[in-house]
Amino acid sequence: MTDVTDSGRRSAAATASPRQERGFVRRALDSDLFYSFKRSKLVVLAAILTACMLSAALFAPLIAPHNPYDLGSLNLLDSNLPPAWLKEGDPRFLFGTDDQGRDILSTILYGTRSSIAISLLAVVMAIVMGVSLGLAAGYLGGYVDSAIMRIADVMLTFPTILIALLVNGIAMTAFKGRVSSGGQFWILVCSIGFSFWVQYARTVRSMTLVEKNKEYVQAARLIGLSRPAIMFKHVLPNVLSPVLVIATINLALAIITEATLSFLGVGLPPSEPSLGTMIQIGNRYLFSGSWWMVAFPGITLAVLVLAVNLLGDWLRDALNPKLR
Amino acid sequence: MSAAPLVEAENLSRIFDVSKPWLNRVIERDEKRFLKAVQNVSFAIARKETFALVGESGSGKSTVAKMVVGLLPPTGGAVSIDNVDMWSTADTNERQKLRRRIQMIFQDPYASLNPQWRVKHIIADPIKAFGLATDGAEVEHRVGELLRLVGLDPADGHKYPHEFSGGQRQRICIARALSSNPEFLVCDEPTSALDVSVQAQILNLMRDLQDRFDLTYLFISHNLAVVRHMAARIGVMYLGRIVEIAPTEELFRAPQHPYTRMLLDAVPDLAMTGRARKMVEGEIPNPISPPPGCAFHPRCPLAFEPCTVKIPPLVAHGEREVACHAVEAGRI
Repeated sequence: MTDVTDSGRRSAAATASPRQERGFVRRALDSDLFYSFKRSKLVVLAAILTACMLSAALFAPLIAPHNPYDLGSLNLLDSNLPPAWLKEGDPRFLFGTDDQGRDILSTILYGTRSSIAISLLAVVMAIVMGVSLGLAAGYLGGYVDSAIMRIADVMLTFPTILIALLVNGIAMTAFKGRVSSGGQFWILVCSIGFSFWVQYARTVRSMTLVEKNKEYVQAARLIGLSRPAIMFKHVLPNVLSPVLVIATINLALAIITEATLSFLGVGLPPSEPSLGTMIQIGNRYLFSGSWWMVAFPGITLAVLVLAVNLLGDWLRDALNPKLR
Repeated sequence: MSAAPLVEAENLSRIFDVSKPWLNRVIERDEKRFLKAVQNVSFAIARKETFALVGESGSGKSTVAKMVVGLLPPTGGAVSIDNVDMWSTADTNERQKLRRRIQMIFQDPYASLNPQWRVKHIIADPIKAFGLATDGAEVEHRVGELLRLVGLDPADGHKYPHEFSGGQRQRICIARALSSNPEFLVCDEPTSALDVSVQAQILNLMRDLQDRFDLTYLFISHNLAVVRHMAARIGVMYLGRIVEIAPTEELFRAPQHPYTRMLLDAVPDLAMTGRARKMVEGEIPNPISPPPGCAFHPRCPLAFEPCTVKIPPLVAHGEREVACHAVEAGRI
């Protein structure tokens, strides 16, 4: 199926329509979305890269040659080793080691894992918050709408990173600086999630304003359904499609924000580094010639963000009916 | 008309606040502005009768429909179904019972079905909301029955609304409306979005269903041919008021109010090809600042002094009611 023509695809879709009882996978392979996916080699590459990095992150404990969190296994004599292919390199450490003798490759795998986990959870949090607030603002209108949207406007005037720093600072003060790395993880999720909800709220609100005047909503009001029931059962499914697109693009942004926060020193602690923390540590040794400490995590971060971003851009175009 | 009407609207009024936001009003020294969409509309619909409201766009037909069906609270007047006042019943239980008996068929079959729901779920929604069937198999059976009733295949229930044509969608809307076993259906221009050939099918389906389930219809339309086909009595609306109510044949045979005459003269007619005909003059005035007296007087060929001063009341002449000074004065 390398050269599927447009007409061939259409006839395949036509024969598929009468009975939709075929498997989900078959239908997904038949869809317009998959067709536009297949046509762009760049997007396929981005998807493969993303999938590789996601699975590498997911299975990090299985594939990583060392456990960077196990301080007992570290040996300071192994510190600052260059990559294995260089003259002073050690074959045990493919990408070299950092100042504490941690294997860079393993740390990248574990770091990507926490970076992706934080970003995904932050995006989920932003979606839950933004979608519910946007839905409430759009559907209920009046004072609820004004209150929510004015808060959103104020938040838009601050840069995302500033809000994240603010939330982070408040949380740190609230816990008086005694935060376990698990606690720090959740503080990061909340601060990134909280700085991203506005976009979802605005999009969902504007879609809701259109949907709530449609007659199917009136039909639902007619049979006496409660407002939450109409909002979540009738309106919500119809306003979700742009949310998926924003979420994909936001995921890349969240990864960067997490890395930035960690780089600025308010992210994950150096004992359990994320990609940003690794870059921050490596940055200190850059001028002493240990370029590998910052280069490999930096490349990983760049590739990850680029791949996710490409996927998001493609999804936005593919789902936009005006660009078809 | 039989003794006890099923639906009674008494002096229904609806005023919309169309003022600018408070800040703009203060800065621009603007007054609050109100749009009187519907004023003192009264009518009664007997059981199994079809009552139609006709009028130009902006005459308030749809606003009346929304108030009668319970979607929009009236600013004045009352609607009662079987002598139960719809808007004053505070008891939610009573209200829900009343809602079951009233359903609505909407104008746009493309917007009135939730695109993300399967048809069987759309039709089952009222059944579940009113607790008419609790068991899943029972609901499924009822949905199949309803689909067959409107001329669709029960297997179509698995599909999504976008897989149907406009006419088929309107059939689905009718099936949904019937799913709560209503007595009274409000149809807000149910065929205006459809092809002429499909219009006839839908109208005939609605008539069949009326005979079968003893339904009462309030039929809103601007299409006089459709109204003539469906309705037993017709109310003609102009700028938020009813100007004439008459049995269908009588209205078409001898229209009284000058506005009704103008409407009927405007109906395209093959027999009139090539002959000179009276054009519709002017357009409907702005309802925010309607003309004083009779709202129709700027367009009326029969207007005389009282028309510009006093709003004519609806006066009964046998089965017909007309609101016109000229008719009362015998100037026609």
